[in-house]
Amino acid sequence: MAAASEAGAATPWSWGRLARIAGLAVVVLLLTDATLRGKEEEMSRAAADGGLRNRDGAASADACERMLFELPRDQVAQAVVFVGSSVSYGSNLSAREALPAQLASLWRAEGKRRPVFNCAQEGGRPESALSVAAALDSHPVALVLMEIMVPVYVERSQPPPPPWSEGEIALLQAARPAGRARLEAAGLWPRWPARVESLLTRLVRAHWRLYRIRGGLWIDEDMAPDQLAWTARRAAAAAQVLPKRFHGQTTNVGKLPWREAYVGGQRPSLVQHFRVPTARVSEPDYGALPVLRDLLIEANVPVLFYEIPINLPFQREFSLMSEDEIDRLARVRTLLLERMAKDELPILAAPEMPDEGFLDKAHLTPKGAARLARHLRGPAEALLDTSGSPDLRAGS
Amino acid sequence: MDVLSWTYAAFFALVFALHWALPSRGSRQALLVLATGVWYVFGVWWHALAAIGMGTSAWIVGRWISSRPAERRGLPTTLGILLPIAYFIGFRHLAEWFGYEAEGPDRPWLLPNPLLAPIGLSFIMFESIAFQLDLYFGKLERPGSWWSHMVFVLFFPTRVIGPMRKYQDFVAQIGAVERPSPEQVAKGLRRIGIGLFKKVVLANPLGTFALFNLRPEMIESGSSVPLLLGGYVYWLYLYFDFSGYSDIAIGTSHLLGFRVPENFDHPYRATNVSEYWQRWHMSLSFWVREYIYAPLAIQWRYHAFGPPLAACLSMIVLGLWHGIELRFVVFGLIHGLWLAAHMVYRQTLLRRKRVRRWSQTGAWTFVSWFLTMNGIVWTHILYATSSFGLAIDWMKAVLG
Repeated sequence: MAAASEAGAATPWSWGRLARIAGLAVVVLLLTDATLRGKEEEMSRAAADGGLRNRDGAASADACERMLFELPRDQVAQAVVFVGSSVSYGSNLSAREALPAQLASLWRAEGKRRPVFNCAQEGGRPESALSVAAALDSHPVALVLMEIMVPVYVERSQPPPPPWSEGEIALLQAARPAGRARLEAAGLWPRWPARVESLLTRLVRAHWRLYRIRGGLWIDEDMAPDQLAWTARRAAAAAQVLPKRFHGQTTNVGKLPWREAYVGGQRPSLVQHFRVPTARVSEPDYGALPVLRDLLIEANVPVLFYEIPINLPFQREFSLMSEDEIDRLARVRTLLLERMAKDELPILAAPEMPDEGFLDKAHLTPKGAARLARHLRGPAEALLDTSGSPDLRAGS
Repeated sequence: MDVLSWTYAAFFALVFALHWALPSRGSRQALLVLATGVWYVFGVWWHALAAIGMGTSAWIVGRWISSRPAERRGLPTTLGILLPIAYFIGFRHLAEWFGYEAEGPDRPWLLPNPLLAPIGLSFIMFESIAFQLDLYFGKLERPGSWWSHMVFVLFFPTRVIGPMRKYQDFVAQIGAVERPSPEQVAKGLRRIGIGLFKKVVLANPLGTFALFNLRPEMIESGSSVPLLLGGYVYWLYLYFDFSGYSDIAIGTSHLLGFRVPENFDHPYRATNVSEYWQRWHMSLSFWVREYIYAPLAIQWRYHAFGPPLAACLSMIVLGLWHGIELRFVVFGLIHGLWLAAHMVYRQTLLRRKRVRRWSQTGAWTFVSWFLTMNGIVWTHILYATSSFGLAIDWMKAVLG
C-alpha cells in the first residue's frame, strides 16, 4: 500500500496527463448533466405548482429567473406571480407549504391548472419586486400578487438595500427600453461590471444543467448548520438528553404555532421585534410601488397588493413592541392604505389570522399560509377574469 | 471584481493565455500592469490610477534612498514610510471623518467617491514600507525598473487579500519567469481547487450561520447559545474564507509563474499565542515581526520589559492595520499583552526543569491548545462585531 502510494506520488505531471484529467472532468460533467435531465423536468413541473422558489437568503432570484425565462411562453403567460418577503416565500416551511403553492393547490382542487410562481425572496423589500416587474416587460404573466407588510414601510434608519444579485440583474435586463429608462431614472439600473457578470452567468446557465439547477453552487438549505443545530437541539430535548426548555427556540425554525414553540420560559429573540420609531411612511420604500405599477402597466400585467397579517398578540405576549409602537404602526397602516388608494394601487386588507396561523411575528404556519391563500383566491380570480372588479378594501 | 465570479474566471483565463503567448519579458510585464488596471476598473475606475500613483511615489522615494550614502538615508526613508501611511489614512478615513455623504442614485459613475478606498490599500501600504526599510537597512541594493515595480505593486492575484510579498523575492522572479511546466500548472490548479472548496463549501455556509447569529439584534437579544455558537463558528468561517482566498491567490500566482508566500499553516493546531501568529496570516505577522518587533526589541534589548513592550506595540500596529477603530486597538493590545505574558513565561517558568518536563506532557499540550484556541475565538469577536460596544455586549450575554 505504502509502495503504491509512493509510486502514485512520484508519477510525473505531463501535459498529456493534465489533458486526460481535464477530459475526464468534462466527461463527468456531461454525464452528470445527462442524469439531471429528469430532475430538471421535475423542477419545471414544481415551478408551475408554486413548489419551486428562490435560493434561501436575501437578494436571490434564481428560481424566478428559471420560471420566467425557461418555461414555455404559453405557460408563463397564464401564470400568477407572487413577489414579496420571507412571509410569502415561506421561510421555515417546505416549498409546497408556502403561500404560492397553497393557492395553486386550491385551484388544482377545483380542476384548474393555473401556474403559480413563487418569486418572493427572503429579505425581499419593495425594491426587490422591481426586478421581477422589469422582467415581466418582455415575459408578461396573467397577474402579479405583491405583498405589503406594513412594518416595512415605516420610516426609520436602516442599512442600504443589498446590491442586485446576478439573478435579479438578469431579470432587470429583460426590461424593454421604456422599462429600462424608468429604472435608470429611479437609479436602479445596475452598473456595467454587474451586467457583464450577469451575461456570463446566463451563458453558463444555458450550457450547464448542474449549474442551472444549483444556481451559484449554493449549499442546500437543509445542510445549513443553523438548521442542523436547531434540529439536533430539539431532538436532544425531546429525547430528554437536554433539559426540556431547550425544546423551545429563540427563533422558531420549526413549523409549530408560536404558542407551542416558545415554551418553558423560552423567549423569541429581538429579531422578532418590529421597530416602529416613527408614525411616518418611508419614502424610499413607498417610492418603489408607483415604479412597480408603471412597469406593470407598461407590461400590461394587472397587479394586486395584499396585506400581510401582523401577529400583535405575539408582540404583546413577549413585550416586544410597546403599546406606543403598536399605535404608531396602526397610524402608518392608515396612512399607507390612504396613499395607496390615492395612487390607484389596489390593496387587499389582511384577513383575521388565528393564533395557530403564525410561527412568529408574521411568518406563517402551513395552516396560516392556507388561510391567506383562501383569502387571496377570490380577488385574484376576479382580476384574472377581467370582467370582474373586486371590492378589495372590504376586508378587515 | 470578485474572485468568485465568472467575470474573474474569464478575465484570468484571458490573462493566462496572453501572458504565455507573449514573447518577451517586457511585454509580459506590461500585460500584468494593464490587466490589473482593467481589474481595478471593474470595481472603481480611479482606483487603478490611485494604485499606480502610490506605487510610483514609492518607487521614486526608493530611488532617492538608494542614491544616497547609508548615513544620509533617514529623511527619504521617513518620507517613504509616512507617504503610504498618509495614503492609507487619507483614502480610508478622511472622507468619513469629514462627514462626506455616501453616494446616491444620481451620482455620476465617473465622479470619484472618496468613501471607496482602493482595494488592497493596506497591503500596498505595508509592502511599500517594507520596500523602503529594506533599502534603508541595505537588504535591497536599489529598486528595479518602474515597470517591474508596477508589476510588484499591481499584481492582481494578491491584491485583494494577500499574501503580502517582499519586493526583492518577487521582483527577482519577474526576470526568471519561464514557460509553465505541467507540474506548475497542476500545482496551481490543485491549489485553486482547494481554495474554492474551502470558500464555497465550507466558508459560505459557516459564514451564513455565524453572521446571522452575530447580528446586532441578536446580540441585543442576549440569547447566549446562538451567540456562543456564532462566535466559535465565526472563527472557523474566517479561517476557511481567508485561507480559501489565499489558496486561490497562491494558485493563480503559480499559473502566472510566480511563487508568493504562504499565509496559513494549520492555525487550529497552535498550542500557544506565539505559535498561533506563526501559523495565522503569516505574511502579515512575519512583516510585523521583521519591521516592527525586531527593530524595537533590538533597540530595547537591555531593558527587562523591552521585548514584551515591543510585542505589545507590534500587535497594536497589527490591529490598526485592519482599520483605525477602538476594537482593533483593543484586539492588538490583548494579543500584545498575551504574547508578552507568553514571553515572560518562556523566559522564567519554562526554564525550570519540572515545568519544562510537565509542559511536554500530552495533557498539558491539550490544555494549552484548548486555552489558546478559546482565547483566539473570544478575541476574534472584536472582528466579528461592528463595534467594541457590541463585542462587550456579546461577552456579557455569553457569560450570562
